[in-house]
Amino acid sequence: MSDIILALPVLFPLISGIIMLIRPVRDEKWNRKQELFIEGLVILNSLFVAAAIAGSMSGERRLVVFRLYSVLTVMFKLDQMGSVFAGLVAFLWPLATLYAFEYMKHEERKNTFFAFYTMTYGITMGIALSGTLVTLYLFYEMLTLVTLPLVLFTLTVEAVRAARAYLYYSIGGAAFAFLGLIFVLGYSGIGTSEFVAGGMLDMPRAMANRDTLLLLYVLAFFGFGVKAALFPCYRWLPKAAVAPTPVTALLHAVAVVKSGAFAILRLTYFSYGAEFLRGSWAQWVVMGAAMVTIAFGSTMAVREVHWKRRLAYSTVSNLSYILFGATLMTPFGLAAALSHLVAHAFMKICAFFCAGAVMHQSGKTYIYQLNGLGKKMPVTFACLTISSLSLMGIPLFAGFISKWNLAMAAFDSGSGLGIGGVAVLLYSALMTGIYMMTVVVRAYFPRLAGKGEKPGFDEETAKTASQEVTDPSWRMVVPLVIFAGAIVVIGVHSAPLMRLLMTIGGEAG
Amino acid sequence: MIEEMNVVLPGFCGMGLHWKLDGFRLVYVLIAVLMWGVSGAFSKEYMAHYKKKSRYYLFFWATFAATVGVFLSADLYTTFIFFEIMSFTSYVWVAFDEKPESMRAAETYLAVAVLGGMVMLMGLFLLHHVLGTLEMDQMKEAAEKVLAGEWSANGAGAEFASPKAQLYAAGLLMLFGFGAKAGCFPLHIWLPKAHPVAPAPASALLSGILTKAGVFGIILVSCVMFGRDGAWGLLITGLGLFTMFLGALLAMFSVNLKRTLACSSVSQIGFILTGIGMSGVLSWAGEGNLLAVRGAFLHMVNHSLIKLVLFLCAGAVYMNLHQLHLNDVRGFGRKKPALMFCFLMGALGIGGIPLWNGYVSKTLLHESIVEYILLLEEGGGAMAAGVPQSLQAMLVSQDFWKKAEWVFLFTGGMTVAYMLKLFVALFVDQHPKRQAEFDQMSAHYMMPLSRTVLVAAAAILPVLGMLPGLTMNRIADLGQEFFMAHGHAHDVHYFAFANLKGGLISIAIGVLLYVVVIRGWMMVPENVEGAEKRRCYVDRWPSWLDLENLVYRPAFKTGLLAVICRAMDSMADGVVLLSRKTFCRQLPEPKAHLEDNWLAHVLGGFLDRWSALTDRVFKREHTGQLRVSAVHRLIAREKQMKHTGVLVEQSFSFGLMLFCIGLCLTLGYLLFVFYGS
Amino acid sequence: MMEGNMILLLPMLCPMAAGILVLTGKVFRKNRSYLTGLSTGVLVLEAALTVWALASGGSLTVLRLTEQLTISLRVDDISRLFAALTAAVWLLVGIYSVAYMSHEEEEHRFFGYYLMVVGVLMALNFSANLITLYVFYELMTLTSLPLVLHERSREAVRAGLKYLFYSVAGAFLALFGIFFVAGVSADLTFTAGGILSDEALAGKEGLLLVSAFCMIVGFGTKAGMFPLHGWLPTAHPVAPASASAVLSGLITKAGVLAILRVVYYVIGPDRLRGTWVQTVWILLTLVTVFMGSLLAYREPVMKKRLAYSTVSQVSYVLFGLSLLNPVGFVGALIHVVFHSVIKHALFLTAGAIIVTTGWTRVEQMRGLGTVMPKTLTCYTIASLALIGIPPASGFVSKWYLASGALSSGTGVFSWVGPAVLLVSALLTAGYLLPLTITGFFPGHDFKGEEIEKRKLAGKEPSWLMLEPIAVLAAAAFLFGCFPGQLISMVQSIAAAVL
Repeated sequence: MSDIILALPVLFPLISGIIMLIRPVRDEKWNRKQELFIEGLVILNSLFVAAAIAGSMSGERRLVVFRLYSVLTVMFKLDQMGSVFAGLVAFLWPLATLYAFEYMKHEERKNTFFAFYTMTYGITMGIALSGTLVTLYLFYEMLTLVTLPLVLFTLTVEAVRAARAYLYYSIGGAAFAFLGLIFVLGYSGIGTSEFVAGGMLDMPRAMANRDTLLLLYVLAFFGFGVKAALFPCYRWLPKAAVAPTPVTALLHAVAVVKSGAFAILRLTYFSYGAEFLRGSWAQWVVMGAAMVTIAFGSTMAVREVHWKRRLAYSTVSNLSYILFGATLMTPFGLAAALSHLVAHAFMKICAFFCAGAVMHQSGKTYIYQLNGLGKKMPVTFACLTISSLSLMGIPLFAGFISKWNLAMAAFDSGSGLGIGGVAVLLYSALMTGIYMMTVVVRAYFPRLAGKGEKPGFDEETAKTASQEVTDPSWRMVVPLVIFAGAIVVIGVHSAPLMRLLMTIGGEAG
Repeated sequence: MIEEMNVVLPGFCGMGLHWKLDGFRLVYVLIAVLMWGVSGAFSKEYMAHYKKKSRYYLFFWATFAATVGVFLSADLYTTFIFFEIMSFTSYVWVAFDEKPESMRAAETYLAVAVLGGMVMLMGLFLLHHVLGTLEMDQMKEAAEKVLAGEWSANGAGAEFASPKAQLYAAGLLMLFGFGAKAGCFPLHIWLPKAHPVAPAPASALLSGILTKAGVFGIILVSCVMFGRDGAWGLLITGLGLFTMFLGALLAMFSVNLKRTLACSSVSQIGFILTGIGMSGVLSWAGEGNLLAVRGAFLHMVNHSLIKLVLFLCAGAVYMNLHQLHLNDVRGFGRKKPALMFCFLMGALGIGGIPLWNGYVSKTLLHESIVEYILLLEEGGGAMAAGVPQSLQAMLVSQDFWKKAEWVFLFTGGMTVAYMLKLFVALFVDQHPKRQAEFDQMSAHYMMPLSRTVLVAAAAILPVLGMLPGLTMNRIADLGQEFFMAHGHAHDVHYFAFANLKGGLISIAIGVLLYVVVIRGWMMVPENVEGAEKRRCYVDRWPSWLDLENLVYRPAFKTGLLAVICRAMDSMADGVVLLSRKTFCRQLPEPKAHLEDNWLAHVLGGFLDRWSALTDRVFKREHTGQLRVSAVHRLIAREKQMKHTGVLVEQSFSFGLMLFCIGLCLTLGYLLFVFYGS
Repeated sequence: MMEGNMILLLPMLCPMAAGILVLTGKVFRKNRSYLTGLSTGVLVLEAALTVWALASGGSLTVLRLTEQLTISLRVDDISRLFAALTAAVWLLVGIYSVAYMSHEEEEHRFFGYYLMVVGVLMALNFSANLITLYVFYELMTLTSLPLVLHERSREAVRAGLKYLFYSVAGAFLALFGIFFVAGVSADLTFTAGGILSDEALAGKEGLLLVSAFCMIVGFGTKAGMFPLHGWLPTAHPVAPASASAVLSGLITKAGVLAILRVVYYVIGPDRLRGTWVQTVWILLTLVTVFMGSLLAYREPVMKKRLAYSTVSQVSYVLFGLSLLNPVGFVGALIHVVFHSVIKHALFLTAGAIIVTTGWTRVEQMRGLGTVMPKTLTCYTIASLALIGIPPASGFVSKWYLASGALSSGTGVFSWVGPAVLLVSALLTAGYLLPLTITGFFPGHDFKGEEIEKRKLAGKEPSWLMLEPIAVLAAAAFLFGCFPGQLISMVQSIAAAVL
């Protein structure tokens, strides 16, 4: 019976989402009780996840759900890496849902939104708990389908175009990933595609035609890379910025893109295995792609004027930090990648929620409109400052810890390209500093016209910004403050988290 | 004779200060006290009508303290500290009355002072690095060791040059620094400009004692460090001769009373440098350099006293007339016996007329040259080695030194000439218009205090001149061991015919020059109605030929360097701006996507850009009203085309037309098949 | 978590807490006497705490970020020198800004951040390892940013952003070096003579030199060294005078302290002596020295001229450090103290001139001697000290720097260095003395009609502003006359390090 606990976090939100779709609640009747009910559902699910993690602490748990064909088993298994990702998502989802209630107050079709929103929660859990590459691929595909309506939600022309792009990129990427899946199954030493720390290939056969396997690894890497917004196929992420903020914040900063990164980690360390890939040309190709994306993402972010699109490009760049850590192919590299996965989740969701709050309160979406709002929305912009400083890598915040680990891993691996990667990391940190701090400094210190100058743009924004622009209600502010607090706590006291990640890195490396 | 008294302040300013009192320093402190006393008394009256007196007196006595500090210093570190303070406090004298030309002169003075100070500091660094010490008494044998062997104070580390080369470099740099203050050739530019603008008592001190501080340094470098070095001696002698000649030339051409005296100071410094140089050359040749040393030292003393008197006389003139041009002050001195007496004493002294103190020191200098020529004739003494071949040839060639002696005598003559010019201008010529006015001034042109002080100072000169044995020799004995002098002290009987001959030759040349050059060429008849024909003084010196404006000021134009530095300064900003223009350029705000009339927008956009380009390229003036964007016109036309298209499709004739076309095609095909095959 | 001497924490926390209190407290916004009273009180307390902390000595681990990284403070003689200088000068400038800021608006914001920056600086001075240094180096940039853009005019904000991005760029460049060092040696605590062991550096000499160079240029940004000095001439003129004084005098010294710690306490001078890093470093400093003074010479605006002068003078210190020999090291450290004192005096005078007369350009300041003779005299003493005229302080440090260069065995640089220093001293005279000359010698025909019209004659700034300037000018002079005690202290440091 105790193994059912593994299926519950996945199926429970799915079923409740489907029920909400079957028995929709009209917008007019949408009241606080309904929101409380949904929030309760999500919190309950998070408790299930917590229980599952607690359970898996004692021993390895696995639950075979069903068997498609002799080799393709859909199986849930919760190892430590999965529990990190699951725990992270479980912690963030209830807060995001709370934020979404406030944000969606003025929107219509709330019911369909929250139905799909909750289903996404289940599918993300599915990815986290997946025990075999097949399960991972299954939920990876379902994630695209579930999140499509959320991107489509506003039904404007841009939303449709964005959704179409999102669909094409994801499906295309999944196809490449499928190729990699087949070959791994073919050369797998243990028959099924169950994740084995350190790789499941049986070495003699794999070594025989090593190059084809490496080529397929690269294809699978770029396949999963689509969702992780790797360089050639990143365009869908900035386009998806038109979706409502809870969608962009949670999906495009935490769930969807992180699933892509998580899938790549599984692919690299638990299917192909680090020894097989270390030192090969494949490693240089993928590390190069990651480095290019890091530089490209942050440079594009500096160019972008639309605030949410700027944060989207920042996500593109920061995700490749994780991929860069992963492609170091060392235990320390995996640990560093996971540390950035956790840190970036908090930082980016906090930044997106601030952007959402400002948009919700004042309807401002472009950077130059934000000048002077610092005084009017003190708490929001304080959290934005903390997340910006952390993204830059200023010490005493989470960003510094993950950047430190990534750099140490790169120097530890001793590869020339790794050290070049650190340089790219620092260049991107500088660009992050530029595109985040311009917003923060201009918000707190708007450029008032000097004695002789004609009143500049900042005065108009200050005047026209409706006087009652204040901090949003508690339901938006509480998540913000919690995330900011988490950033500072991780920054100052990261020893326990790092110990856990190092153990994961240790066995899998 | 004077047991040495040492005062040491150990920790002060890093390396500590160290003063010493010996013969030379005692003499010069006494002279400083005398000069400051006399000019202080005189300036009481001179400054009567000036406004900022308190500032003048503050810096007057500050410079006194600094100068005494320089003369008493026993190590070069102390010398440099007080030397810089003296430079800055004496700046106020030159910039005192703040007229435009005095500010410009003060600016030059400050620039030369600071530049000289910095170059000297560089020399001190090198010296300290090579010799390890700056104490004057230890420097001598340290320098000898370095010049002889390869020893260096801290030989450690890869030296950038051999210790000997470093020592010479240090010496040259120090010579530049001290020479700037002494006013020798390349850096004399500030003297002729600073004196006419400074208050008379101040300019008396400026040229009387401050230049001697510079000479004090040069003596230190030449006699203590390079005492036995022939090449250095030759350099100093050459510099001295040229400065002497140039100064005298400038003085002859000058038509301003104080500027003439200033140029004469430059010339007299040249005399002193020649003496110092000769002492080096003689000791290199193994001979005793006593003559040159005593001559140089006595000439320093004489020149200080003479210039004090002459400048104060000029001050008296300026005090009453506020004019300095010779044409304006002509005849002022007539019927003023006290002024005439003082000016005469000074003039005769500096002219080297026997029985006056100038003659004594000039004779000694002249004798030193003659003695060296005699030495060369007897086939040269024990020439020390270590002199490069080319200089060796010059050092021993007799005709070079005969020419030197000839220049010495000719410059003596020029000195007599320009002093005669001043004397005649002031006391013989008559002012065309204001002569009567000048004559009544003779009663009250000077207050009794300054009159007595001036006369007393003037009286000293003949006393020194007439009793050389008693006074001059004893002063010389006091000062000579500072110069590290050696050789037997045979006393020179000054009034012997051989020595008199030199003096008389100079006087003859002087008078000749005055009559021919100054009277003949530099004075032109001026036709002033009323008064009978007079000759007035004309400045024959071409105005463009001014070393400062010709060479120095353009040299310090920092235009080109500033361009380079500004480029470097904005390099980092340039990179940022460049990246902001290229790969970090801000994306334009996305325009709303247009679905239906897509073609119209593309064409319209292209047309707009094209017309904007043609406007800019052919610079056609804008036609006032804003150019209507071509897009709207195209949209309207596209809509109209669509509308007509729909109408045509639904009309019957359109269907009929299509049917006919189809018919023709099939007919053509059939014909082709049957007749084509 | 906190082992060690807790007293070390006080000089850091007390001003920070006071700063936050001033920023957030409403009472300080309205009531000026509370604000100034608290600020001066806290500054005096800060000085006392610093002395107490220095006396008590010892070390303290504040925080443990990860196993390898700890935020820990420690008192050694370098921190003693810098902490004493910071506390003393901060108090003086604080008193000055009480009077100066009455002319500006939003003073509570200025004093709030002013107090926070001194807390961060004190922590920087006491930092015991490379990470603590880097943490507080970054925090200093962030807390001093509001001081730069205090006026919130258009160019002030632009200058503030430029200051932030240059400093952050420099910090990240240095971070690359820190990563390398942390990769090679587990423990990052400063030990005289360097902490890197040879076998750990076995194959990585090239990378060591590259990372050393990155750290020098990175931390050199804050010290205004050549490639990344662009922010200094832009940021200083827009900041209020007391802020730009502190920025020039002390915050640039944080960059110097960082380089000093890195080269002499982490990498070790013997590893860099004779390498291309030392040659390029000397070249960069000499270029900065010359460029700074030449641009200052041609700059009409007074505060911008002093900013360029800071660029040039701080590179004197870096030149001394780049020689890697004891005499040069002594010259560098005493020039840190002298330049800090002198530059504070000059900037505070510039502030006083702007407040009293509103003149910002040098040619406007004709006849300043009649307006404020006492202030201008202090300015003259300070500028003579900076030019290096004996017996004022600048001369002593120049002497040690030059003799250090001559005996440093760096080939042609050993005489080019002193030559460049002296040319720069000449230019320093060229850009500092004109103010004194036009001030005291306005010219024969100068009637000073503007001074009469605005009744400026003899209008000295209030004693609150004049007091600190006079004390600083006197210190600049007396340090030159009696530097013995300071030099012996620095020589003991040099002996330990080299």
